[in-house]
Amino acid sequence: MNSSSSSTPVGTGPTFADWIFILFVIGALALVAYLGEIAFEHAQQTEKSKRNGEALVAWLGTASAERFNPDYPVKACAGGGDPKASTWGACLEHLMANDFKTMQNPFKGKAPEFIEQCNPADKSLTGEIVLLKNTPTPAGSAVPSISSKLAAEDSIDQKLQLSIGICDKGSYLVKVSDIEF
Amino acid sequence: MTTDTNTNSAPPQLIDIESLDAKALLGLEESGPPISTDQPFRKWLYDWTLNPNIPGNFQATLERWIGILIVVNLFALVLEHVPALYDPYKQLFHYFDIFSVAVFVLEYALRFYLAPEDEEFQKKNTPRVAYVFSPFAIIDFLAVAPFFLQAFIPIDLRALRFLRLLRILKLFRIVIPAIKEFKELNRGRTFRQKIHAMVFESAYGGKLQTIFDTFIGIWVIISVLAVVLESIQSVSYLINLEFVILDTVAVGIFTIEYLMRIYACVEEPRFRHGFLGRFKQARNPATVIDLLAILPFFLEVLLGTVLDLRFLRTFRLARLLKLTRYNDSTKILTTVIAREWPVISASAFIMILMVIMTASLGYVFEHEAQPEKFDNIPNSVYWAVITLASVGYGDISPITPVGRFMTVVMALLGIGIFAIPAALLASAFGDQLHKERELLKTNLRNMMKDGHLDDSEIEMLRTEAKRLHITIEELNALLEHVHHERVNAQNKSVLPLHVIAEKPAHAVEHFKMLVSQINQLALMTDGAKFEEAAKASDSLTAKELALWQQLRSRS
Repeated sequence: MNSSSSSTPVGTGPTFADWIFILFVIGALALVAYLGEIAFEHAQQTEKSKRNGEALVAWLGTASAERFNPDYPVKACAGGGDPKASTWGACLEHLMANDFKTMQNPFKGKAPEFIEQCNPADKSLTGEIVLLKNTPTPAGSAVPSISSKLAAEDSIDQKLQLSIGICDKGSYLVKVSDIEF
Repeated sequence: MTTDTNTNSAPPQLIDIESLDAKALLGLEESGPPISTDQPFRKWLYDWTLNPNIPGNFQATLERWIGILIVVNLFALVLEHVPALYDPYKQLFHYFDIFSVAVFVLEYALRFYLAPEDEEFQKKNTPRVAYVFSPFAIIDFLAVAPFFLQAFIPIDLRALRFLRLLRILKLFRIVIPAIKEFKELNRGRTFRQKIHAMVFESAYGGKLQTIFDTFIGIWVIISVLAVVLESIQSVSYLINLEFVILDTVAVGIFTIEYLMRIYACVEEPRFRHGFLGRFKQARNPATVIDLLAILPFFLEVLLGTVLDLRFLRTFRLARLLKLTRYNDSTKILTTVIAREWPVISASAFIMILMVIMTASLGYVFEHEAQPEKFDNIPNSVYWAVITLASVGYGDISPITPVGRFMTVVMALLGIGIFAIPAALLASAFGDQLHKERELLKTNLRNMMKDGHLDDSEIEMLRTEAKRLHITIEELNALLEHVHHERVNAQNKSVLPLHVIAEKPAHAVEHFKMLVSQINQLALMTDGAKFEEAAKASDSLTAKELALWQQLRSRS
């Protein structure tokens, strides 16, 4: 590790110190690659969560166009009927038992839960789906709509404006889409 | 630039100070590169476009733009793998591909046409055939061939993209000569000295060091752009994985650079000592910035599960500060701040004092009237700063008459006090530039002592003139001034004739010197021709001619 003049030719081959440096660089690169791999895995899990959200958006979008027809097959999710009978809880139960039977929270390996909001302080929420209903506010209000959790007992007999998102690895919200259901 | 002078094996070129010209010194000759128009078109075209030995022609510019196009091609190729980006802009990517191929084909055609003028091929029997089979030409061909091949043979898109990746090999045309030059410059030097030459500015770095700096600069810009784009939800949603890969690669590159700097810094005279030198280098602001550029990545992945370190991602923007290493103005600004620090800190102290005083007075006079806005002194500090700095958002404002009067007084004082650091820095910056220009003048005087400038002195002058933003007119005036100073100094070294004549001893010595000079002249000139010229023009009298002949016969 002795310093030497930059103008004095001393030799050409790597010295012991040089080899240590080379090994250190290789080690540092291996560490970067390893940490990069971890970050990539986390990002992939977040991507899978996003696919869950997108699948839900796609299903809700398709159902939105048909569920008010009298012959709509999924009665639990049908609209325009008895407000007390058609609730989000029943519809969700049907979905998780049929269309989204295989849907999994990639961070936990079990079915995702539907929550109101992500919380970076609560890491147990990673990969869960945020489902909010947007209720329009009266004209002239400071905000155009108010978001609240779409609870199991909420009626879905009429059109609903929904916001769907997921919680990423750090339990931060990643918005997927707004949709009419 | 300094390396050019080192690589040149030719004897150093000396420019006499009488023939000095600022434009020539700065490489801005109006006459342009020395390319004659009285030569065959092919040779003329070669000299303008591909001849690396003619300074001021388009060879370097052409090479630089081709290099940039190759790098952009590489990025386009990477982005094509992102469906979210490729699908909506497929046509744009295609047009860019056509443009790139057109440029590369033109380049190939130009090199093919001009091969007989190229030193490498002109001695061959068939220069153009020799060019076609040269390694670089094969690479050039491979870079464009897949584009034409797909017109005739259906190629799988992935295979086509892989073949297009070969375009990156074109960079070898720039990198390989730089590596050769680097090897030549560093022959017999140690591994660490070579690392030093690569990352620190020195006479041993050559073009490879410039390429290394450019490479780091490109990655700084890419990674900062990525951080900015990542904050756009719609973009981040589509290419989050790509951002992760890009960040990992950037951190890998910056980590290697950081370690190289720390390891090789002991070759710098100011960081000689093995451990303390490296520690000193690590504390250097530029190196601290290098560390800040990579640290968020390690901390977030390592401690991300324990602590919420998402905010550290913003610190990746500190990578932009890495570019300050390549900017001389930043160095001047740092010097100025360091020099003026006592005054700046004194002014900062007064500012803090004023802020606290204004906040306290605001609280005293407004608390009762607006308890929700002026609820305590710390909360009033925000209002005080916004008022004293003349920002005045207006979200909090005094309503009592005394409070308003106090605000008027403090705001007027604030204008003066808050302006001090800005004015101080501006004047100190100008002062520093003036000092450095004076230093350049002194250096120029010293360089001109021997009556001429050599290559390294010209290079130093050129770099300094560029750094200090000296115009051609200013440099010309400076050169003239220094030249006159030198002439005056020379004149003063010779005593006037009437002073010499006053002392016989001096007069004898002076006469001896004159006779000696005539003897020297007689030895150096052709005597017969001298006499012939003297007689023909009648410029010498008979006595003078006789004296000349007498002295000549003696010598």
